[in-house]
Amino acid sequence: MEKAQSEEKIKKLIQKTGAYLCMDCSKCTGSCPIGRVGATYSPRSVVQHIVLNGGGLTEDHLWRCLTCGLCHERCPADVKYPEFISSLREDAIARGVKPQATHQGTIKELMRILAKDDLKQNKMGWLPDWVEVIDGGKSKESKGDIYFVGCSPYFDTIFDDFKLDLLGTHTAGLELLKSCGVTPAVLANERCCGHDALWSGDKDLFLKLAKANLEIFKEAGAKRVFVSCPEGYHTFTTAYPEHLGDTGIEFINTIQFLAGEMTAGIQANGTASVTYHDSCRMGRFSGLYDEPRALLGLVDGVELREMEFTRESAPCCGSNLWINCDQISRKMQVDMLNEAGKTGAGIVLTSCDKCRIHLACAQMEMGNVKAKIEMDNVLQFLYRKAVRKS
Amino acid sequence: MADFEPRIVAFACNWCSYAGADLAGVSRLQYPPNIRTIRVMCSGRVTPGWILRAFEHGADGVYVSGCHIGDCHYAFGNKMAEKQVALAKKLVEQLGLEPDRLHLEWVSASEGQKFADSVTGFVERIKSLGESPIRRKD
Amino acid sequence: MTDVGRHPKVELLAYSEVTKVTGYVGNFKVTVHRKARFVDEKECTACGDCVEVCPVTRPNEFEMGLATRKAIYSPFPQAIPPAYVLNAEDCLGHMPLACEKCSQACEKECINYDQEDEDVELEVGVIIVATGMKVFDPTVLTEYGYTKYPNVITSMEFERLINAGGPTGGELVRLDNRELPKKVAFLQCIGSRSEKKGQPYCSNVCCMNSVKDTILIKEHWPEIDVGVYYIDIRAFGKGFEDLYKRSKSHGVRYMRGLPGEIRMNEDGMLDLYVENVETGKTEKHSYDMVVLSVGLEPPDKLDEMRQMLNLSKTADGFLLEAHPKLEPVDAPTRGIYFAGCSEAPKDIKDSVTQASGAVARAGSLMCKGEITVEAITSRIIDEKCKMCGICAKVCPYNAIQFDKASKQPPKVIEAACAGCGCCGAECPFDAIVMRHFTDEQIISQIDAMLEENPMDKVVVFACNWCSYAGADFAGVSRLQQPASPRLIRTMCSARVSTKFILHAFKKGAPVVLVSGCHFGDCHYIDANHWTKKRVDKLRDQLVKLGIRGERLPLYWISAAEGQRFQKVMEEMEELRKTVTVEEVEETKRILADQEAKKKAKKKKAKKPDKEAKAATD
Repeated sequence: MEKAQSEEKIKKLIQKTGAYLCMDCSKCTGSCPIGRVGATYSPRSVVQHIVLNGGGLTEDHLWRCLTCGLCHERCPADVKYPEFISSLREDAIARGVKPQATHQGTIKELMRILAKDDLKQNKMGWLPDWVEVIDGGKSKESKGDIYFVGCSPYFDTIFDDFKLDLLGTHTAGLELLKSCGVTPAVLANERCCGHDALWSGDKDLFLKLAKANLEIFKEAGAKRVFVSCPEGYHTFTTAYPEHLGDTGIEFINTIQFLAGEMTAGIQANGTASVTYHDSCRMGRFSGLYDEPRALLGLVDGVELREMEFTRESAPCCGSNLWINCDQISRKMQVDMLNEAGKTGAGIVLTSCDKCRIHLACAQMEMGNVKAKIEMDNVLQFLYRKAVRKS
Repeated sequence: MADFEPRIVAFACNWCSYAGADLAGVSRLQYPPNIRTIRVMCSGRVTPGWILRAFEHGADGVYVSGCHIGDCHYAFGNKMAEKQVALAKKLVEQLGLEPDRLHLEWVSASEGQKFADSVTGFVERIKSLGESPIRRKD
Repeated sequence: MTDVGRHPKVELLAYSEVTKVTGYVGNFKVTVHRKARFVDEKECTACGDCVEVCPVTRPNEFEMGLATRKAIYSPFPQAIPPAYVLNAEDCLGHMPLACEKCSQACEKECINYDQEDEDVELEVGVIIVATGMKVFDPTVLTEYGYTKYPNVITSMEFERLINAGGPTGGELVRLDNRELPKKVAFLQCIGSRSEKKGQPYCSNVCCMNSVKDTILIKEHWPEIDVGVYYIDIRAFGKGFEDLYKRSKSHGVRYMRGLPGEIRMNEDGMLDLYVENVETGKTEKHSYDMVVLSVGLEPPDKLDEMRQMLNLSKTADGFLLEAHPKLEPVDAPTRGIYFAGCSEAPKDIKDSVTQASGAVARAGSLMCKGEITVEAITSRIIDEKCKMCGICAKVCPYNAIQFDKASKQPPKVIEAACAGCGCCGAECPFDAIVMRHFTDEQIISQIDAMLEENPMDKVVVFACNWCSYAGADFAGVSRLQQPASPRLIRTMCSARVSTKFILHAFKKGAPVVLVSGCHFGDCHYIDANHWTKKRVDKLRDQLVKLGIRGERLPLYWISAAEGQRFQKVMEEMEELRKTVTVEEVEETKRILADQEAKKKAKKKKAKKPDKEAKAATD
């Protein structure tokens, strides 16, 4: 019975993702960033295996993909490969295949706990005093505006020695929103958005987390939820409606919102030449290429130097979903940092703190990174390095 | 509260702590039966992931035990245990559990009494804290 | 071209544009705007003295920007007419005179700055559209680095480099250092077969073009390593497979699989990242030069031309032929034919074949001096006509001439009328008779159909070219269908007037289905758009009156969709079963009420007009 169910699911998947249209042109493999640095990975061959044989995938086929979306971007037949591979992962887990996890499963377990019903977290102590924190019940002041923090407090604990000030991203985001007249409240018991669970095939965990989050949002009377994490933003705006129906909540990307509101010039503390990395969930998945650049363009004295491969062609930061990390990841991170260094900019900015974590890890461990380049989040850079013109 | 029997997962290192626990048993020293011990070669093997997994599966407390600093059979494994348990404690606290639910103790192979005493004390503490807030199955 | 230029019976209007077309087959009036070339076509001997002194340099369009030309120039060698042309935009100024160097150099004194553009009106019997195509611009494919890396070129640029008359005299050189490349790669399907950037169709010519190019390279420089990266090699024509084999025999390497990216390495070589399909590994193949085999697209301004001529286009953007198999060179509008890529991408042989066909079709039309048209045309009853002009507005062929100011009833140009029936259905005053598909003929079919047991029937209006053919196909395929649907054939779904639909409901039909061609496929260009407007509007009115809107469905079913037709008939049967006798009786009552109200209004407004009932001719 299980096998027949699995076969039925796979047939539907082939239709839904358009996999049957694959022309076998292998442009996907030619674009795949892990293939370029030495891994053997062919999305074309995975699609052909499934479409022609209904199966026959190896562990590598299943788990190596970073779901960065470059293959889908280049595919002339528009086969939706990231969705394809994550659904295959879901099917595999349902049939008993063991999923993978880095960091000895610490982060995975953390996310499982975040799905528990009777959870009362204590992770928002770092917020500035003026931010309203809601712990049950409706907001008193913020009129339905909520700011979603995500897993940053936990990552801040785990990657404390990277000194990335992950929580500073959110303080910066909240301050910048305040400067535009928006003061959202923060929910003390918000959960992980479920992005990693979803893309690594743990659909059950994703659904549990999503349901828990939606309940918390609804209880607080959320109408607008501001999200700074590109993965969270994409998950809320795409996966939540797809799996749970219309949420009735407007999820807003913080950078996109600020780019629309902030039009006045910003005085910088001195000059800076920066470069910008289009993280995959912000760029290819959500189409937000111009907004961060528009914000950086507002700051006097800041010169943006583009890397050679940006926007839809931007590389992946080498690790994703906490299931992949090896020499291939390292090579990709080092390549990326070298590309950033080539521009001559002193700092590489990104909108995704997960990218920052992976790149910082590479910087710490690899001595052969040619360029000593600083890293920061766009929101922190905007807020800390610049003072608003009055 | 009086009927509450805590469920505690204990990690004990092979060379010191597990031997110490064995000594307590052979010496017929009485201590509460609430701990379920998992033997590891070194306390440094205990990852935050395992600790969280124990809580996720409904443990009310986690007890990690290894050799005294300087005595680790693998030179500095217990130093890593210190770091990892400290990290796990922070995560546990952020998750809303009382940090006291996680305990690190150095117990050597000859310290059977110490083992029995510290376990007894830990069980009592957990009893007073009550059931883990996330123990209930969803 | 020389033959055309010299032919006594051919008038060649070069450097000109068609700006207006009116009329109909045999009687077109075409306005041609002739741009001033400032050079006397008959006197210029193409000596080139003017070119030597002209101070202005511009990129040469014919050489794909790889060479320059002057403001006064000959578009390409052997251009017909051979006279040079002075481009007014590039010239430093002819009004007022800024330079004058060219006219001073011209011994024949045939440069005249006072020449003006002129408009010429031509009376034309037949039009052949041979507007060609343009190629895809691969700059948007940022992964391939066109315009970023100088040695990534398009196949068009390659043509100029390898051409003995081109900017390098036929020497294939790298654009960065002018040296002969050692390794050349061809990438196929650039801008073709893509749902994303470019066009979704196959451009027909690029495979064989690249095969030919590889042989040109190998015949001149056998030492150059040539690789072709493809998805499929389409060598379908006469001698094509043979040429492909010849290319391979020269040692050209054909590899299936397109690279995902091109990156330049430190040595200035282009690295192609491509899968080795045997091992699944991503490999790096290095080349000096990469030729992107770009696809074909409709030319700029084709839409303007199309609207001038009242033509439709197919989904690929090229012009729609009257029938994909049986009338490949005819436009659906009489008197217009296609040649070459105007109708779809094709190569030289097929273009010439099609052109020969177009000319033959045109010739057979012209030599007769008169045409026979189908009798299915419309006729206006002048006495009933209230000169509202709706018929002229809806005609897809502009076959109804109407001038409101003249206060004369409109005139149907029978040569242009294709018989769709849209005018007849739209006329609010019953002033149009559609020959062979009159109101009476159709109404009597409805009456016959619903005379007995109307509750058991579904009235289906099916258009001749698509839906009725689709129904036929379903039948011939022995697809079992319910017996309740009864078909009434009209030439076009646009013939179905609200009168017919209401009559059917009044006679007790539970369901009335209107069916026609899909948008874009209508045999009468866009008449089915009026069908939709009309049926949707009527449905809204019925709903307002309290009649269920689902009982008037509108479906587009093509001639090939036999299975779909069967499914739709099954749906109609299910729908019919939900309609009760009470509902139908209520509908009859509602409609009778409406009619009574209308009659009362009319009585107030004007005298009865019962004698002027339209009679068949």
